[in-house]
Amino acid sequence: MRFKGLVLAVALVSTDPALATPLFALREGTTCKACHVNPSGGGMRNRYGRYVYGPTQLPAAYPRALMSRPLDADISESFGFGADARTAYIDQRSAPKESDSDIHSLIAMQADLYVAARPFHGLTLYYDQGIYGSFEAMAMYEFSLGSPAFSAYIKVGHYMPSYGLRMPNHRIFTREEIGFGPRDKDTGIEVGVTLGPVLVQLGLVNGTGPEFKLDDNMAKGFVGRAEFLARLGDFRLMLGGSFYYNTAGAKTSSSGQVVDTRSWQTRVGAHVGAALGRFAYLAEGDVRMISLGEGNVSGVKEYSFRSYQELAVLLFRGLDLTASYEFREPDLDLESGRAHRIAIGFEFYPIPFTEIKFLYRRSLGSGTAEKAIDGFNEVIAMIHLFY
Amino acid sequence: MKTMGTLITLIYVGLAPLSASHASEVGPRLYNLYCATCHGTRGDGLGESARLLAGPSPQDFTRGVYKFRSTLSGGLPTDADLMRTVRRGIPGTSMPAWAGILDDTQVAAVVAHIKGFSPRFATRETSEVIASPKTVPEPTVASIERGRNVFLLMKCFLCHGTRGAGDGPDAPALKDARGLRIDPRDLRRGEFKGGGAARDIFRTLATGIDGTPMVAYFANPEVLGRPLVRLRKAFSKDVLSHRALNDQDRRRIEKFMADLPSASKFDDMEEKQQEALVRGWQWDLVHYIRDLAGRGSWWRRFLGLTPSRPLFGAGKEE
Repeated sequence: MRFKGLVLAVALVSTDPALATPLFALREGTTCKACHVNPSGGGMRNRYGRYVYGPTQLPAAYPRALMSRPLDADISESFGFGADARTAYIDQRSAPKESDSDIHSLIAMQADLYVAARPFHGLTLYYDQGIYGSFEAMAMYEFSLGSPAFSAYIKVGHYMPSYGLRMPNHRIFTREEIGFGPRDKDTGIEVGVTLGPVLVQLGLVNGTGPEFKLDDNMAKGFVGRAEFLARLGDFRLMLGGSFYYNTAGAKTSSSGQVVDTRSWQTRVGAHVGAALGRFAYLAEGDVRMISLGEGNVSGVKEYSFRSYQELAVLLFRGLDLTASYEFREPDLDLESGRAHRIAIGFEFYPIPFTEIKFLYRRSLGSGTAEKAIDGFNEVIAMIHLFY
Repeated sequence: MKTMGTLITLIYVGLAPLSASHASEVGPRLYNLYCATCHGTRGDGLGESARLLAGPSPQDFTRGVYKFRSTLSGGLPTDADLMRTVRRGIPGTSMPAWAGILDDTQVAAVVAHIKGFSPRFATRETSEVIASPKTVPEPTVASIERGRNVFLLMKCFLCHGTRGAGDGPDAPALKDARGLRIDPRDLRRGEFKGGGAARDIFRTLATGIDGTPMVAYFANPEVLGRPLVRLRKAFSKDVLSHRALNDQDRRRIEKFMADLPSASKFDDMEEKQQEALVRGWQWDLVHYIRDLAGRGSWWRRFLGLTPSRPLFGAGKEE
């Protein structure tokens, strides 16, 4: 139990600079890129995100008495910085009774410093350093395709591959468990094309998993994501799909044990979002296929399914009430192991650049092997300062 | 941690020049900070965020054509007009209200910088200001009903629809000055780009919205008052025969027309009396439009489709 508690703690304190808020993009009828430097969302906010949307559209109020000085984090038009700091109190208890793996702790969930430079129009150099060693470093070149509605970008470096909905919680079933957790950055190249309401992103990565290391084989990971966003009067609709395909083959130790399961799996997912006025709904479902390929446990394929659904209600500007439901089927061929989780909470932006978040998550898991992890009910209270 | 330390040092050193900003640089600096991402550093409306935002394109300041003014159609706005727009924002668009963030001195500095984008301001061209009404009459049930008749007689329904929903028969064909399709406002939303107070709506009706099909209806009594009385039959003929209207509307219009003073009686009135009569109808229309906005059905309020305002600070109605 002590070991499991340690695993949980490590998972909790991992930072995720790729956190983004698809809910806002959906409501505004735009893409993550409207507010973030990274076209895939997350991390440093761009000028619109920092100076326009952040202070004027997001928070419940702007107390000028506290913030009389004009905001300016840009050293020049071509060089600026940003930051994210999340600190939470987590009260996590195993059901049905307290155990030595429970957590009652304040945790610095994230502390990231971003720097972005634009030496000339279209080119962005970006670096993100987190407190736990996690980092993103990339160069992006954006250019128009002849019309304001058509554009493209090329991104190279070490970053989180574009896949699914980047919900601002890496611990939901559809993020970390399918290989897009805080440490799952990879090195590669990504091309994105915006054609009116359609965004298509295709990427090639090492597929070596969470470690920042040199790849030792020819096979690579292929990542793709497409999203369609429609604005029909007050109604917003988002439809998307993603895939991750890695043929790197099983990595085994000298004793023949599988040591890296992340590098030889296929993931296919679909996501949808709908918003009308104060109501917004987001959902994602992912199938992951792990193939224990040749040279190992031959012919064994394991299919699993995970889903996440969230309903958000904007009570008034700055305050969202949220309810979510998660489902995990760890092996579609087996009856056992299914897990369900529900959560309710709120996200409150009282003043610019400040978020207060509360979440109560209850596990309804019926699994056996994973019960130890799924069987935790938790309360998270978080303060998030960002710029 | 060493990397982090280097970054912090770099930022600290880099920030130093900011504190040395001179007052004369405030306008350009604030503009570049808050406005340029949408309106572009050259004021051409081609900022890097412009194409990503929902709703109308950001204003191209270089054209010198402004929608929200207190001046006659085609004229340049006053500084007060521009400052009002910056402070309040434009509801229903991506243009936020800056009142809570920038003080009046800062807004004035931004406005001065914006004016520099168009050569029209440099020519010292003068624009006639339409006087703001000194008093606003209280709305009554009767005035709102009269306003409904004026709304139909002035053919507002052709664009805005008989229910004010922005779904009039001419709506699909409307285009702005750039030839782009433009939707008439759904008056029931309660979001008025030029402001939702009675004076604001009056001003919008008086000046029109340049660059759009919304012309100035109140600028001249000849547009509404005198023709309504003198040419009552011709004036109402097209309206009464329009298939968009129902029988109840037709009966109300006929009754309204019957209660109007005769042409000879109207001509016998002093000019001030004539103007007062016409001004009364104008306010009736304003009251009716505001009533439409206030009627937002319960489900619109439930869904949050009525304008969202902050608890305090930026965006509060002035």
